[in-house]
Amino acid sequence: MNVRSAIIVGFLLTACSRSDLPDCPPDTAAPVDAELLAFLGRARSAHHAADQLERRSDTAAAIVKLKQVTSGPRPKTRHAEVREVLADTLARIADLEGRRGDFEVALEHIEEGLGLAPAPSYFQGHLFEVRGLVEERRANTLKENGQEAEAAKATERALEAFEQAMKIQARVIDQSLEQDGGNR
Amino acid sequence: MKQQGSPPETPFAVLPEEQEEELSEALSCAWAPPDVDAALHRRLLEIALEDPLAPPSAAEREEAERLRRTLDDADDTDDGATVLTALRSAYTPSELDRARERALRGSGGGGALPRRARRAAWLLGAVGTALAAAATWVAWIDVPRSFEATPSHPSLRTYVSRSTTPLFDDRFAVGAASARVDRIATARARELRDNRFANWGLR
Repeated sequence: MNVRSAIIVGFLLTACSRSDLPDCPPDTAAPVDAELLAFLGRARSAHHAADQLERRSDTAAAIVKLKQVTSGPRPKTRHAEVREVLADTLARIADLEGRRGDFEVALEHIEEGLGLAPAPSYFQGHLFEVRGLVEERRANTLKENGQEAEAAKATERALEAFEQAMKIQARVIDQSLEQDGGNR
Repeated sequence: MKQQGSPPETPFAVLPEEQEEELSEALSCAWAPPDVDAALHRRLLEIALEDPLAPPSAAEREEAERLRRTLDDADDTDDGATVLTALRSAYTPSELDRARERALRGSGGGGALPRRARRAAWLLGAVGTALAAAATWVAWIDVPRSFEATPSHPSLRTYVSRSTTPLFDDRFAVGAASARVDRIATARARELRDNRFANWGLR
């Protein structure tokens, strides 16, 4: 074997020794399939339709449109993407309900969303952030109505929710940085 | 020496008018794509979301039967049959007729390749192998752990469902939900396309 052949064979052997990198599936997750894409496409359309309705200041119609996603058909497989998009959609519905002054209904949507995003993630952090916004709006409304004590309690809950949101986001950023460091 | 006033010479061949128009239209479509007709858009979506593993339709069966007959009759006027014959020959080449082989050898200049040409061919092969190995190396390093082996083609990989968090690098802004769904749908649509190619053994 001459020098050139040795270099080539060495190169190939080194490359093959890295076969542990990509071929290990992370888990037995379902493949990205047409059902998932159909759900995502439907959600995408609903969000864009809701954008248009919001621009027309038709908040009620925007909520109805978004609820077609949360109560509509879902893929049989439990895709992580479906849970996350549903959680984000519920956060948006909660924000719209909060703007309409339906604070309790808004908080119910937040709880439902948190059930779909149980681990720290941008989705979970966002739900806490919206919870804070809902409580903040409630506090403002109560203050306007002269209910100072109730307003103070709502403000306290808003602060707690914002604090929680910040902690979650910080944790997600840390995890992301750790992963980036590990990948280097 | 060139005469003054003569048109400047161009190193490129001038395209025929028809091809020039075609190229010009393709470039303007790429630069500012016009709206797609709604019916065509629906049809494109249907095609894109069609299940590649679904049982064949009646039309597909009919076309397959027609193609089989064409292949049996060795009809070389049919484009589909010609392509299939070429593919089959590349995969399982049939024995070459002795007389035809001799004729081909004769027309090719005859005899073995000169020593210099053999060295060049060997060198090209070696460089190609090294580049392929390097490309494999780079691809393995950069590919995210987001797939598993494709059942129909175990050497190929299938993207699997997973959290979309890596698609985002900052906290979510209120009022930007549509943009987030856009990003998720776009990323997964690309992966679905790749999965289909993998299922067909084409990636």
